[in-house]
Amino acid sequence: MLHAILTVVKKGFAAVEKTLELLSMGMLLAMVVIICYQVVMRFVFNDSPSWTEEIAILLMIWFGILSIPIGVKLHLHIGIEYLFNLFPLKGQYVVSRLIYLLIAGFGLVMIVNGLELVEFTSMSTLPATKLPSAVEYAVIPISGVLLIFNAMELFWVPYGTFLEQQPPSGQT
Amino acid sequence: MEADVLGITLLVGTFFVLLAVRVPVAFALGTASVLTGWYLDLPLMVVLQQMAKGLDSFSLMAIPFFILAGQLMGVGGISQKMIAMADVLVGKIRGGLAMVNIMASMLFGGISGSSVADTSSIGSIMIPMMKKAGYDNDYSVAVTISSSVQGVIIPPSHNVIIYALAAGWVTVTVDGISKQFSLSIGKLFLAGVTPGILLGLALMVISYFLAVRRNYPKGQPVAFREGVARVMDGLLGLLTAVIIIGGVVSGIFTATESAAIAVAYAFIITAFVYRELGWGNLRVVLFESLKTLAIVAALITTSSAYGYMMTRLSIPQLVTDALINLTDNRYIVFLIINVILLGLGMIMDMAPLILITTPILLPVVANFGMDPHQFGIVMMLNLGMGLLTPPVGSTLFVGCAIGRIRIEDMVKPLLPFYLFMFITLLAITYIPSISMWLPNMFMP
Repeated sequence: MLHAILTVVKKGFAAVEKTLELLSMGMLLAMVVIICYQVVMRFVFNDSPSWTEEIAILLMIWFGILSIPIGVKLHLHIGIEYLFNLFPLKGQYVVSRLIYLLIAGFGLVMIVNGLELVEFTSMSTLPATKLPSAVEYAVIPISGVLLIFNAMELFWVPYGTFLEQQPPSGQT
Repeated sequence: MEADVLGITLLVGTFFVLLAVRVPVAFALGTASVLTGWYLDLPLMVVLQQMAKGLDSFSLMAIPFFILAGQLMGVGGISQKMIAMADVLVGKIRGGLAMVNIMASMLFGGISGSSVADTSSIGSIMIPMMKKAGYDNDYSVAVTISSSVQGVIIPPSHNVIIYALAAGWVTVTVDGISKQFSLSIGKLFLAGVTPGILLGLALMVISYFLAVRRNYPKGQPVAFREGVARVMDGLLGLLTAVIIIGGVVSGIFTATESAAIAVAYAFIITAFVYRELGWGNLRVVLFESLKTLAIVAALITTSSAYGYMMTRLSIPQLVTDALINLTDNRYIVFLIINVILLGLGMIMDMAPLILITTPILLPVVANFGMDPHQFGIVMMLNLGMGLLTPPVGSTLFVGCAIGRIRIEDMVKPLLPFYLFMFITLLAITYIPSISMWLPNMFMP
């Protein structure tokens, strides 16, 4: 029963991740299109739209904060391996579990204090588009949830699997 | 000034301890900021707000656009075209392939701005080619990776934009007047041109010298018509750089706008002129850009929070005061800063170091009269050299992987190259006009 629920949750999150990855790529393209539109409007029609910069920056913030959990998922965030590689394998396993816990803890801060921030800024508005300022920050708790999930998924990797994933010589 | 020793120890100590046990840099910065915020009794939402604020910059958006344009040009086979063009220009010299390698890196630097990308794309063609022509493996790898550092100096370089961003995070007090720098991207671009070319020349000199001593072959001269065709083909690709730099320097576009236009241009060239782009690799382009950007963006968020905490604890001011008390000789101070950056560059990657050290070191150099634009270029070359040094040097790792050579075996062949790069570094540090004559001429 518990196992079945876990599988559903995992599948759900995997679908959400995939969507977010596509969304991030979409945001990247949207930024280019919006700024090109701004240039064309300014040069050809001599009319600078006021909303373009604000929306593009909003996309940048969403893209950037979402890249924190996406980076964990894709193993992009690099650390310094030098000292770590000197640990015995068992120690490396334990330390990397602790690191995933730390990352999940950071995710928790992003959820709790991020919601606080969203609430705090919900009354003010952005100058050009009049959207609530909170939309800039709403991505923080969302990223927090994904971060906890991604970190915990890596946290549960058993020792056997961890050993299999090691590069053969230990050299990068 | 009263230093909050406990707070500073917490902020700096937590960071280094976490770093030592392989916590990813972005999270080491984030955790240290949260703990310090907690210690200072700040509401933790301030830390999170600073993370978002780090990304709240219009000129920052040029970074994803540069990376996208570079990736698009990569699909269009730009590295082959740059090599073919360089071959026309310098291929006939003794050690011709080494010269071509360096020249191609210089041209490629105008498109990609990343040393690792340069090594992986130019190197994966040039290193096997040099091996076949009888060059020693260690020499080929050394030439490839050292010349790829040009990529981070020659405009447009996205690392320069990261620097401009971080420079805006700190309040600099010179002679009792406090101000916040807002650096001109155009000036930074122009400031990088001559140092980048100078570095290329320095590397060509040492490569030529070694090539003569080891009797490496000359290349075949290229027929005139063929040569013109290749140069034209290459120039078509280099036009992205011209659009970006020209747009920014002339003031017609902002850096971000010209980068967006460059993406559009790169898309059109790759899809319709070079005819290499389809739906399949467009997705790959976007995904590869996403991966590169995710690292940078995540780092920017947490180092923005970290920079805020450093300012709260007056760390930049304290460091400046300490160095002023130590000596009033600017040459010694600049040397100390170079040594610090080189040392840090050995253990850490470029982007996080720019983000962490700029708020600390910029007030120091500004107090000793160095132009912040010049310092940007000094920092780029310095940290670029850090990419070639063990134990942590991403360009070195990529180069060794392509050349199938052990990292330990690369250190000795690299020594002459390190030396020439270091001499270039000193020249750029102590002779301001090398960097500044172009920006002073075009953007006074």
